[in-house]
Amino acid sequence: MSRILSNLALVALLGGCAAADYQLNETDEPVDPIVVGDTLVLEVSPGREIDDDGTVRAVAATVPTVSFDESMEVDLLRPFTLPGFVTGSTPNPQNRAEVPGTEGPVLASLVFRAPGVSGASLASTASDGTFEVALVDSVYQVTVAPEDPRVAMSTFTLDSPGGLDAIDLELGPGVPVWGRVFEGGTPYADAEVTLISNTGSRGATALTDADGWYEIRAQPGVYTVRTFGIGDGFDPQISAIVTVGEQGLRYDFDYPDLALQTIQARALRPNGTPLALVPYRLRASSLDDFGPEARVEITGVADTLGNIVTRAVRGSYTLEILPDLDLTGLRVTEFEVGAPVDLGDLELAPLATFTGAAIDPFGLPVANAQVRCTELGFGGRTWSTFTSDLGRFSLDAAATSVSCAISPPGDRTDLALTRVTLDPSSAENVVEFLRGRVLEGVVRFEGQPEDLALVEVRDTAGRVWGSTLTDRNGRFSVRVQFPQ
Amino acid sequence: MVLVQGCFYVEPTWQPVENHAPEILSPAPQDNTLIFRNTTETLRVVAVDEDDDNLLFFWDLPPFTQFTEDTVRQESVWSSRLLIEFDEALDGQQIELLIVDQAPRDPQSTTFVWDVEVP
Repeated sequence: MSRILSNLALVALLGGCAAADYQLNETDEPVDPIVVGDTLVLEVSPGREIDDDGTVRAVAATVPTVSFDESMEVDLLRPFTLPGFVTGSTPNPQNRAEVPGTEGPVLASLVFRAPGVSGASLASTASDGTFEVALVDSVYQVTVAPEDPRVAMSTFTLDSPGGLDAIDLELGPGVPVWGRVFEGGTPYADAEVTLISNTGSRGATALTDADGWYEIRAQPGVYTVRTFGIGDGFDPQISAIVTVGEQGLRYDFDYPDLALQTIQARALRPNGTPLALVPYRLRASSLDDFGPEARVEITGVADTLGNIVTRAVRGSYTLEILPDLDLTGLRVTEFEVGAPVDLGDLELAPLATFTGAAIDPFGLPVANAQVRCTELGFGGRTWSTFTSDLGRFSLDAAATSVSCAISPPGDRTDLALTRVTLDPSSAENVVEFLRGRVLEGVVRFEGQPEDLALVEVRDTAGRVWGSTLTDRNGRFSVRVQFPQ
Repeated sequence: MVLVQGCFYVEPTWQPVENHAPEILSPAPQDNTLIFRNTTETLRVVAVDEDDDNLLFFWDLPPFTQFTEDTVRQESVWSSRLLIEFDEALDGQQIELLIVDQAPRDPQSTTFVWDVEVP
């Protein structure tokens, strides 16, 4: 369990006593009790990703669970390029009529996802429907999103593409997803509507006609249907998860009053001078007359005098100002917008200095430990430093609570990366390293050990709990401690 | 040299200690261009410092970019990796990496810049 002690004087005290205990019990490996393998994933990036000829040499691998009880073996794969062709039914112009139209090449974007492969491969077709994609031999789920919303969005399973010469994907006519968009009961023209697949791929955008009608075609399945209003960024985004059956689906959106109210403020530096061109983000926490599924997020940049001027529908909002690394971000929370709002001058605070020390489980200082602190929320900015020979650190970071990862130096293989939340109001933050458990393994590429492969242990939120590089024998060893 | 009491005395001379800038061994992608072919793209550098100084890696990203970063050291080799989520708004933007060594005097730095292309 991580601990932040408030008094550095404890360092020396802990050091002498605990070190003696450790010597007596050296054969008993102290194991911190909470290390959960099935909530961690192992991500491995090749030591060299690009070959000398510029082609991709190997792709990163994801191992969905980690095992502390046995040596893990990870084989990186070399991708191969596969050509493909997408055809679909270009519909006749009759709106909402079941006329499949003629078959032909389709302009589309494709997303290939496979278990065990980090990220997903993207491809897009040329005007003749052809594409190329880099894959490894795995089982892929392929989502095809045509540029024309009247051509069916489709998902396929592609098993072992290594044995194929090419991929032919026929989208077919699909079924219609259609409906109307209203604003205050009247048809809302030029509203954007799109489908999002259950794998997160976004389809083409359809625009409503003068009567508020839209139509999208898709293969039956589960989707999110979403409207962005007229797409100026001010209209709330409304979504619903729908099941599209064999007969298609009708889904209507009904916006209440979309009258916009002006919100303004002025961003200032700590000395009162304007903070020019600073980015800001306005998020709605709730919107009047809308359901909980409605979303508004408006991003922009202040002008050269620090003026922030934007507009939003009625509701409750939070404004965040996201400065560069030299200032603390500012958040104005939960203010009501029912009429024009002037938030006045918003003076950002300087950074705070976090001071403290890193110690090992015996209370001894740890030198050359890396201290990396990330602000919670805002832009997720990160500040870093290293501990001194006496294990001490001093770091200027956002004057809010920051989440810090303290990484042991390379020669302290007895310590695990340790995460703590530091408080700027504390005069002294003493971080005690955890020991964690050892995770070992080997990384190979085409049967050979992979040198300098990056091995990361992450939680499902993507946070790193341990990382290391493989040696010349492809072997890695890293201590991991993941508290619940 | 000065002869003192029959012995050779070598007068000490001060030589300035030169601090070397961090060296990037392998930037990836190598050609200063990041093309989004995946939903999550990776920028990674492997770097060393001849003076064995600690290295800090500063990634400069456009506003509102979704990313995670991780830096790890193995003996004298450093690796810093940035994972960037696909975003059409990144097209035409630049991502800059500044590596600064932590030499007590005269810290040196190295930069690398990628242009982002969204096909």
